[in-house]
Amino acid sequence: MNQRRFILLISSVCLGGIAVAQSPTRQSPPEPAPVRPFHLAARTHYVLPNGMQVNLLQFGSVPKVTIEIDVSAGRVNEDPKQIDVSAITAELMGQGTLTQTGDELALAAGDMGASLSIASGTYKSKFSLDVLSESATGAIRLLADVLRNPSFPAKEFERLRTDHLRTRETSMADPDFLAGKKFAEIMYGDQASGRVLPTPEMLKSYSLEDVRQYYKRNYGAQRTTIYIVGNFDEKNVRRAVDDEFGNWLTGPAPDMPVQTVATGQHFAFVDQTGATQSDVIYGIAVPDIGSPDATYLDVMNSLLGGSFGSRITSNIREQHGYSYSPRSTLSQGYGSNIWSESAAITTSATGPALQEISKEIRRLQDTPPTVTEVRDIEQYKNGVFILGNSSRDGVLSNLSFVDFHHLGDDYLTGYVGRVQAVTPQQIQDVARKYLLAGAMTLVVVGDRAIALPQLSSFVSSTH
Amino acid sequence: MKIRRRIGWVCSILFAVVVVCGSKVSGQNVPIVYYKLPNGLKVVLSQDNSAPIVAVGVYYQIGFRIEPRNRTGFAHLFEHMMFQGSQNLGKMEFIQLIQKNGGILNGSTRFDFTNYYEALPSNTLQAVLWAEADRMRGLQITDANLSNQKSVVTNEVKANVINSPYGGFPWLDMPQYANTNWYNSHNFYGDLGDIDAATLDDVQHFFKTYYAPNNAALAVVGDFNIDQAKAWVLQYFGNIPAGTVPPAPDLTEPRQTAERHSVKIDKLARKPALAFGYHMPERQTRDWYAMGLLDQILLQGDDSMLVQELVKKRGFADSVTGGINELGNLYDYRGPMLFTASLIHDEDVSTEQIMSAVNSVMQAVIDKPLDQATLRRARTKLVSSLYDDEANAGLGKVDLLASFALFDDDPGEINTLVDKFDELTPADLQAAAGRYLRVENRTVLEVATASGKDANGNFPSGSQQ
Repeated sequence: MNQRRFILLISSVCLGGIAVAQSPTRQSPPEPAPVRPFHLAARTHYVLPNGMQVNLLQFGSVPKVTIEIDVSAGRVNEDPKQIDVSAITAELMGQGTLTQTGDELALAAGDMGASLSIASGTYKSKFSLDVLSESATGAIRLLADVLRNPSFPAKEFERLRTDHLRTRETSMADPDFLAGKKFAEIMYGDQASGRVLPTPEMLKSYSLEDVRQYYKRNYGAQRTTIYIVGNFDEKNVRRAVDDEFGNWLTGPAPDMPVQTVATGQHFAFVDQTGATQSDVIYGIAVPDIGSPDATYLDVMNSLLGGSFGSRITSNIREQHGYSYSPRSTLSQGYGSNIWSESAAITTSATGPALQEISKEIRRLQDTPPTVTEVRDIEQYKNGVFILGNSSRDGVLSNLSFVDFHHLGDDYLTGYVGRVQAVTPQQIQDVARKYLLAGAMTLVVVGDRAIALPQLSSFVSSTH
Repeated sequence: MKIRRRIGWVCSILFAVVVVCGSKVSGQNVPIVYYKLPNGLKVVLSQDNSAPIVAVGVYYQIGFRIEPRNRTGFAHLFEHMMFQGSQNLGKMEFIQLIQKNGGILNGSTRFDFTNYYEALPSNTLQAVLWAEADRMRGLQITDANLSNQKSVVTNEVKANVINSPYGGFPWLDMPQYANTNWYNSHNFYGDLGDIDAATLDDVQHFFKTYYAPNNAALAVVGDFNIDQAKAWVLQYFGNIPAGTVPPAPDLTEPRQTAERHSVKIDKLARKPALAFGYHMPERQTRDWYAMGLLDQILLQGDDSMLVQELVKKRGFADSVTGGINELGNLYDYRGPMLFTASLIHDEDVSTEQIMSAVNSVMQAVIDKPLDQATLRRARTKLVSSLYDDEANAGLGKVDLLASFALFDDDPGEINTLVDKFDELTPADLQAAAGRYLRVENRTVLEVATASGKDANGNFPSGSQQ
């Protein structure tokens, strides 16, 4: 810290004004007390005869319960020429059943203190209700009706089609979205994760029959997992699950193709004339969660760009002020993984910011981090893990995560130990092995005339 | 579609914590220990041993409403400065301290307060209290740090507003169009020129004026020992001198007597959008509680009347969103405040069509008392959302306890809220609707695309509608 030439000291001693160019003797923060014991609550897991997976976990002190149903039905299961049919199917299921209209479903959910939430992704569609504990069995019944008896009302189908057309348009104006879309298209090509948006013509071509067929081909007990987390009467809940889902047809077996991620260097620029910022994604394929290197990569990511105190954020935000919210992430796919740094950067600083990002990657590759820096980031990760396991949401998403990746619950129980064991050398090694400067993909959405000339070192090495 | 808001690592002006806190519906009370230090600092301690974590919040009663007139955006810029160095913690050291103790942290600037908060494993509470006291005692900031954060904040405004379609709509826009008192109606994210003009003198003066213990509340929620926490609070905060906080300016809004209507051009937007906002009754009046339930009935959840009418029945939009206090929740402001709803719609649907449908919904609750089933559902939804503090590591409870301490000197309100809502009758809701959901109390704000209407609400010649 050599930036203390002009110090503004406002303290109890000199409330009056600007003072002193030298700090008084600094105190150190108090050391933490011994860690309090933290135990992950164990789940009860069983399988119905029809193949449906059931998970129950009593958790927390407030009288609420979250019920989430994950179905292996996502974009990977779509006809490539019918992008978004998986999402439209799931959304339409919430718009009416054989015995209840969409309005009646909404009122019933409201009476339990909730709204039916439906979200569809690459591999899964999720249906959930977060209700008062007293409504646990009612919520299970409602979700079962939605999952098993959708009526697919034609009027609501047309409304959802219009919504998707509109959302498509609004998304296409969002630079952040455009950067993610272009990056996904490069990394996944014509695989499901690369098919980000349907064309308007596609959306207009879908019929209700396409939706019915998608449902028929992709929904059933074998593809379904229910998670019930919170405070609930276990006996009643188990009975409700058995009653509502026990005689559901087994249905199709899960179909979860692994997608491959592009290798080699790629570059794309999406012009947004006049943009005041460049939305940038800079990334590369890395080993997936099942790899022996997965934990090293996880800690490396937090240290390099995945936390506020990380090196890249300290550099391009806190030293240079190039960006407000830069961050690196590991995007864990199913059998795939991508490390990337994303940032919205002042247009005039696009090149300098990317140079600094590259510099930080190189610095980690050239010199192992200190033992202290690694210990600090490991403690951060473990603390965040404990925080994450202190809410219904967090507990449920962890269970869903390990199931999706076939990791087993010992992934969670062993998490803290694995993270603590990572060494500086292992972090340097994975940075060297995987963050290859010559194979990084760069996507920039911004003002081409101003930003592109700043990128010569990135572009020339590509072409 | 939800309007996207990018949240930064720290110092986002938009605070994600909208979930709120426990109630006694099932007979459980939030335990509260409340006292003041001799220097005026309000302290709220609430034990919850369900997980080995602790949440800490320091709330200063200085929001963006009352920032200096020639320094729009300054309250928020100042919030960033609180992470730039204090006597014992240099730049980045506060953040590193929280992180290495396994915690997360942030700060946010709101209408009536600025807050700083952390959530961590509970064995680290002492260090957090020490660090928060250190920056309450005084800042050590250089020109370089101020200059750096001006750049960061400028980038924040670009990311969230200038370079984003629907940026600032309606959360930043509506207060500017609906209010007439400068304190409520200026651009609180800040004119970029004003942000750039800020000086170290400004920083010093602002800190000296508002960041005093007698203008703040400290809330601690989670798994800790009350006596131990009290001792640490006294040890670290006890000898910070009180300040002389100026009286608040007149923040009142005159009663609105005619509907306002404005058009904002958004060159990045590809679809028009519409927001409508109503001035709220004064906080904690019977009408205010009634509006809390009317918000549930009109706007929260798929069962709500505006969602049913505008989304499900008419198909104008895929969602209509909003509520009371778009930068927080029903409870964490002092006021004045707006009840706002917004939607993005297609070009072939006119503002008149949408507002006509809105009027039919509003008129229904004005003309006729709601049935008991609707009232009961609204209460159930409200209570269900009150319990959701758990989802946020105790920070939702910190938010309510600190707000009630700061504004009302009574964090115990957290335990009487549900009773107040339970007392309301259909007639109360009807009366409040008649007084506050009337057309003359409303501002309508249209977002027009570059090819749509001009700021006078006219279509440019040659454009098609």
